[in-house]
Amino acid sequence: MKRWRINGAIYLGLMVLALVFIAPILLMVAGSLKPDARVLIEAGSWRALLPDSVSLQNYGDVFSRVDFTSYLLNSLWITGCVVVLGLIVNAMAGYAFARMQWRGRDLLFGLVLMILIIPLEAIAVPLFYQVTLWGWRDTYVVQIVPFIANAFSIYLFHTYFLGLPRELEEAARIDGAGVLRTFVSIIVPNARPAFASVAILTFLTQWGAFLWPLMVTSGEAVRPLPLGIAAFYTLPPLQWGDIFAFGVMMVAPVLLLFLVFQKWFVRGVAATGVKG
Amino acid sequence: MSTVSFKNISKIFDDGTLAVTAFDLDIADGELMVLVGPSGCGKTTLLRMLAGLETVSSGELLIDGRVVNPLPPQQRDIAMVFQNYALYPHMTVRRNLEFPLRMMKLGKDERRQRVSEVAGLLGLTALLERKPRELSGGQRQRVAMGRAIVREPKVFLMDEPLSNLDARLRLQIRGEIAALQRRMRTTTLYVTHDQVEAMTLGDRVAVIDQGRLQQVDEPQNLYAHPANIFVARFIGSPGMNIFRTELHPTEDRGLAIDWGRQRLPLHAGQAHALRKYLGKTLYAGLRPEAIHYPDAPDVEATIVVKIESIEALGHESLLYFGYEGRMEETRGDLSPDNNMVSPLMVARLAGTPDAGAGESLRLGLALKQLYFFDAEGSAIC
Ligand SMILES: Nc1ncnc2c1ncn2[C@@H]1O[C@H](COP(=O)(O)OP(=O)(O)O)[C@@H](O)[C@H]1O
Ligand SMILES: [Mg+2]
Repeated sequence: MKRWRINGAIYLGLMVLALVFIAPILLMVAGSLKPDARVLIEAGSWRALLPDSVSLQNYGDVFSRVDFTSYLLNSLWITGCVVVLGLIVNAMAGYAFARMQWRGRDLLFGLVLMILIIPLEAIAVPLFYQVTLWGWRDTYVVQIVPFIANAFSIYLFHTYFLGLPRELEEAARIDGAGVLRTFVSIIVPNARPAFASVAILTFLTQWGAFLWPLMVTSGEAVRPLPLGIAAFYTLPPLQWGDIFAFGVMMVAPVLLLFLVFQKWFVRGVAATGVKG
Repeated sequence: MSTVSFKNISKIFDDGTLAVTAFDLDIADGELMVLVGPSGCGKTTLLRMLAGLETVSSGELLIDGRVVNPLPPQQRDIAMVFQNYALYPHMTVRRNLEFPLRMMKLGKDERRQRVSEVAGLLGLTALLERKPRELSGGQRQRVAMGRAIVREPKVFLMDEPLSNLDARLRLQIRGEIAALQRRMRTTTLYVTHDQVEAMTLGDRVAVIDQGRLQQVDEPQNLYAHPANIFVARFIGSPGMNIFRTELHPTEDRGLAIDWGRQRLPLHAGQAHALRKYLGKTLYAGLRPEAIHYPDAPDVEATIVVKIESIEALGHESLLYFGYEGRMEETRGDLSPDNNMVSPLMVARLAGTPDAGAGESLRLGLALKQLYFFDAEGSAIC
C-alpha cells in the first residue's frame, strides 16, 4: 500500500516534469500553425498549446520575409564541416593519447583536460583578435576551424579507446597492419558508439552557436540559423507565428538526428561513462 | 623455414618489474618449442618481445639469423594466436581470415583460394559468413588458428591458446594443433603453464621460472634428468617428491641417507657421486612413480608413512603422506611456496590402497631412482 503510494507520487512528479519540458515545444509547434493574431490572444490560456485552424501560412512567410534557405545552408555547411573534421581530428588525437607511446604525452593530455573547463566566452576576445589579424572575418573558415579540435571530444574518444581490448590492435599489427591501417580498419569500426556520441554532441553545440558567429560575421552571407532567428525577431512587424515557424524549422534537424541515432547515442554515452 | 634465437634477453618493465633475465634459447627450423612455467614467470613477455609488441631491455632477438629488435610487428613475418583469440568482432570469419592476406596485398583470387584452403583444413567452411560472436569457444579458437596459418608466416606464436576451452575440447584441439604443426612444419613457440600440455606437444620444452630459463630439452629428458629441483617438481603429474637429507657413512664403506627416522642405503654409483657432499646440505628426490606397495619388484627398502589423503582415480591412486621426523627435516617449513622441499609427499599407486586417511601404511621405495640435488637445488645425480 505504502509502496504503491510512493510509486504513484514518483510517476505524478515525472509527468509534471515531462509536461514542463514539453510545453514550450508544444507552444512553439502550435503557435507556428495558427494565424499570427491568435497566438497572442490565446497566449495566456491552455489553448496556446493547441493549434485551432491549422495552416502553413507562417512557414511560407518565413521564406518570403528572410532568406531562410541561406541561413539553413550556412548552418548545415558549418556544422557539417565541424562534425566531420572534428570526428577525424579528435578521434586520432584520442587514439594517440590512449594507445601510442610518445614523449610528453601525459603532460599534453593534462593540458587537454584543463582546456575542458575553459569556456569559449573566456577566450572569445583574444581569439577574435587573432582571426581578425588573419583576415578571417566574415568567412565560413572562421566559424569552422576554431571548433574542430575539441577537448571534450578528445577526452570521450580517449576513454572509449582505452576500453577496447588491446589485443585487437596487437593482432592487427602482427597481421601486418601499420598504425594508420589498424586505426582505420580495426579501431574505428569498433568505436561506433563513441563516434555517434561525439557527432551528436558536436552537432548540438555547433547548431546552436550564437556568440562567436555574432562576433566574427557582419554580413548575412555566412551567418547561421541562430543569428537568423535573432534578426528575424527584430524584423518588424513582430509576428509570433512566423517566429515560431522559424523556430520549428531550426529545431527539426536536431530532433531528426536524435531519433535516427538515439540507440548509438545512448550506447556511446553509457559506454564512456559520460553523463549529459 | 626459419630459426629463432633469444640471445641474453632481459626485460625490465617501466615500473621496475624484472620479467625476464638473461634468457638464451635457440629454436630450430620447423621445431615446436614449448615455453612452460608457472603463471607470472615471463612466458607471455617473451612471446610479446619476439612479436615486437614489447621492447627488449637488453639482448638480441634473431629470426633467421637477422636481428629483429628494431622492427615493428608487421615487419617480422610472424603470426600469433592470442589467449582470448582477439578476433576482429566486426568482421565475418572470412574477413578475419582474409585480413592478413589483404595486408600482404594479395589479389582477390589468391585470397579466396587460401581462405578456402585453410577453412577446409580447420573445418570452418560452413562458418565463413558468421561473425565471431556467433561462434562457440572451440570455433573461435580455430578461427584464431586459421588467421595465423593462412599467411604462412615464418614463425607461429601461441600464448596459452587452449586455456579458455573446457577440458575435453582442450584435449581434442591440442591434438589438432600437434597434427597441424607436424604437417606444416612451421617454427612454433607455444606458451603454456600446463606441464602435461607442454610434455605432449613439444619437440623440446623450455622450463622457465621467475624470468629465467631453468632447462631446455626433449620432454623425456626433462622427466628423466631434471637440471634442478624446480624442474623436478614442475615436470610430472604430480611432480617429484623432494626432501632434505644428510649423508652417513656405512660400515661397508658405502653411504646412506636419512628419510625421516629411517636410514636408506645408497648404491655404489650414487655413493661415489655424493661422497664430496658428506656433511653438507643435500636434497633427495623420488618420483611418485618410484614409490610402490612393499611387494613390488624393484623395491629395495620400505618405510612406514602416515596417510594424509587419498585421491582415487580408479585404475590408480595418488596417496599423499607424511612420516615421522618430517617436521625436523623440513625445519617446519611446509608452505606451498617453499621452493625446495615438497609440502606433501605423494605416491602413485595402482588400484586403491585398503587404508584411509590418518592410518599408517608401509610403502616400498625404488632407491635406484633417487635423485640428488645440492644446497642450491642443482642436480648432482
Ligand atoms: N606491462 C607490464 N608492466 C609491468 N609488469 C608487467 C607487465 N606485463 C607483465 N608484467 C609482469 O611481468 C611478469 C611476467 O609476466 P608474464 O610474461 O605475463 O607472465 P606469464 O605469461 O608467464 O604468466 C609478471 O610478474 C607480471 O606481473
Ligand atoms: Mg601469460
